[in-house]
Amino acid sequence: MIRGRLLSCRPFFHSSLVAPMPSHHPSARKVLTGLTGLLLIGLALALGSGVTRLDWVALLRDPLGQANAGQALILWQLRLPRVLLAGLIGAALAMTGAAMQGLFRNPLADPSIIGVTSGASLGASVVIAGLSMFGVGAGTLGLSGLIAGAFLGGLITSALVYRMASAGGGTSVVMMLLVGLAVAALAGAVNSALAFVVDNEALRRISLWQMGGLTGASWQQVQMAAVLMLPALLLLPRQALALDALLLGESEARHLGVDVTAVQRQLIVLVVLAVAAAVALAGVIAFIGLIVPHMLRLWLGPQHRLLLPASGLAGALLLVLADVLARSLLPPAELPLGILTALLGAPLFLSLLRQRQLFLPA
Amino acid sequence: MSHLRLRDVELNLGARNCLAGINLDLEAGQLMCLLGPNGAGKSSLIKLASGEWTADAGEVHLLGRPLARWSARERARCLAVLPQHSSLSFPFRAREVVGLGRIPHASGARADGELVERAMRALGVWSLADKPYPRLSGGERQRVQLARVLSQVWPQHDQCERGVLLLDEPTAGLDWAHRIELMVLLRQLADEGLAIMLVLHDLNLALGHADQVGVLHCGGLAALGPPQAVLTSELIAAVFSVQAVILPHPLTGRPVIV
Repeated sequence: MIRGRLLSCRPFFHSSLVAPMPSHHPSARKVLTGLTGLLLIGLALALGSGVTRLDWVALLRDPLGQANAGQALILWQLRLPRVLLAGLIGAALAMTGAAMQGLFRNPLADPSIIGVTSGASLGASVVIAGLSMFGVGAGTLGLSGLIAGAFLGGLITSALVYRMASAGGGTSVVMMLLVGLAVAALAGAVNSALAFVVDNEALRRISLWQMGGLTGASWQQVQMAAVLMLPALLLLPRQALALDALLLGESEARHLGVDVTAVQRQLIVLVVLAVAAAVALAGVIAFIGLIVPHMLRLWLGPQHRLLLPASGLAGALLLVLADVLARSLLPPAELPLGILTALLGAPLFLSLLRQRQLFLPA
Repeated sequence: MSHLRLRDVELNLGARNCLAGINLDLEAGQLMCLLGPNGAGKSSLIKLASGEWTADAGEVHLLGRPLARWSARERARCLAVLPQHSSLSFPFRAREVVGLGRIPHASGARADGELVERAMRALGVWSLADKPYPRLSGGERQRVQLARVLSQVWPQHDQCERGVLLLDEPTAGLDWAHRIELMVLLRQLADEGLAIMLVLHDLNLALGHADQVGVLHCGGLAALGPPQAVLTSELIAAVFSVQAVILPHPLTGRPVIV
């Protein structure tokens, strides 16, 4: 009766499948409950912080704000969508980072480092430039065009990286990073070239958007994010066992009954969809997908059935808090979120590179 | 019905005819050793038999069914493979690596835990269960990987009474004592019903423990049969270009290649 049930069809937290964790690893339920609790606290904190102090007592008594319309507007139309967007993007970036690292069998394979993010931003820049030439502004069409461009750019890049880096059976770290570098350089060059072509307005929008930020967060954007990221957030954890097996190598995974090609395809599409949406909505936010899974792996071990959901929760928490920081460091101005995460993430990435044994085979 | 059957199997890699005219049957309870000089096609044969590569001509049957007609998951329940090289750089604990062998079965955490412990004890790595895999020595890693493939087709388990085990140089990196222990263990597992085929370089290990020996030479099976009949000094001279003498062991009386 279990015949033909592929790994992909398994519920991701089937209790009978969870092998006994070594005693010094914290239990899965405790970890996930704890992280959920922290995330809720973080969300509440983020809703409460900002230039305007919210009168919570009044808002609780009168949530739709007939009496204090201004406060209600700030809560429902500005802060809540922004906080939700930050949470969704953070969760998606961290979880896709963890999944990419499993797929590439390498703890450095973050979408932002191997060039998927640059590819996506290249695609999106081309779309912004193209749209501005035809006189189409931001709005729904603009946003979906941006996402489509980012998706295409990200998909081409990840296919390229995967092909080139895993040509000889294993995955070559050097190839992976070099392809990422090449795509980032190409994206930079095209962006500079676009500066000559497009008008000032489009140029300003490209550069603002590239810095990464949630300034214009709206319910419409939250909807877009949910539609494009929830598939990854819900379906990636179902591939946890396949990812565990893939860490041994592709042929080993095949001998363990994993349909490797199908799993790879599904993972890449889900990851690129989520990353492209993140890039289109908030620009390049680097290193979340690297820091979060790395820290969690040190704490929880590399088993994906716990690592993936925990990464999602911790990524959401980290980006929500980073956004609070970005809003409150230089009030009333906002530090672009992408700059903040790069400032935090780059030093960690460098320290990771120093521990060579983590990612280079002995 | 043999567990694994190869008929007129042929494999071409590029222009070179890599393997041709391979016929063999691996039965339940058999321990078959593949011998041969480097580049004779031993690993290729393992890859063909495990379905990793597809034969250019001929047929490979697993438990009476063509290999291509098995779903990946079904096949993984009956057939476990140890490749020559495995790289794993993520800090799994040794027991978690062995537990990966249980992925195809969905037999529950308790049953899986018991089998993992059994397989690890059989290979003498239970004491390393909580150590991170990347910190183990080469021989310890090899034994952990062996425990992984053993747990995949462990014979006492109801789902895999009909298990096939293919091992590509399982003794690589093992010290002398562990090599002999491994061969004794494989012999026991075969006696409990597994069909085992492995690539070896040590002729004496094959002579002492296998009940079938296949000698590959220049892409073909030069000889196949019981070890004492196959491993003659003429064959060794022809295949390995080494002058060898086969003498009775002074204590046990069993033949030894010198």
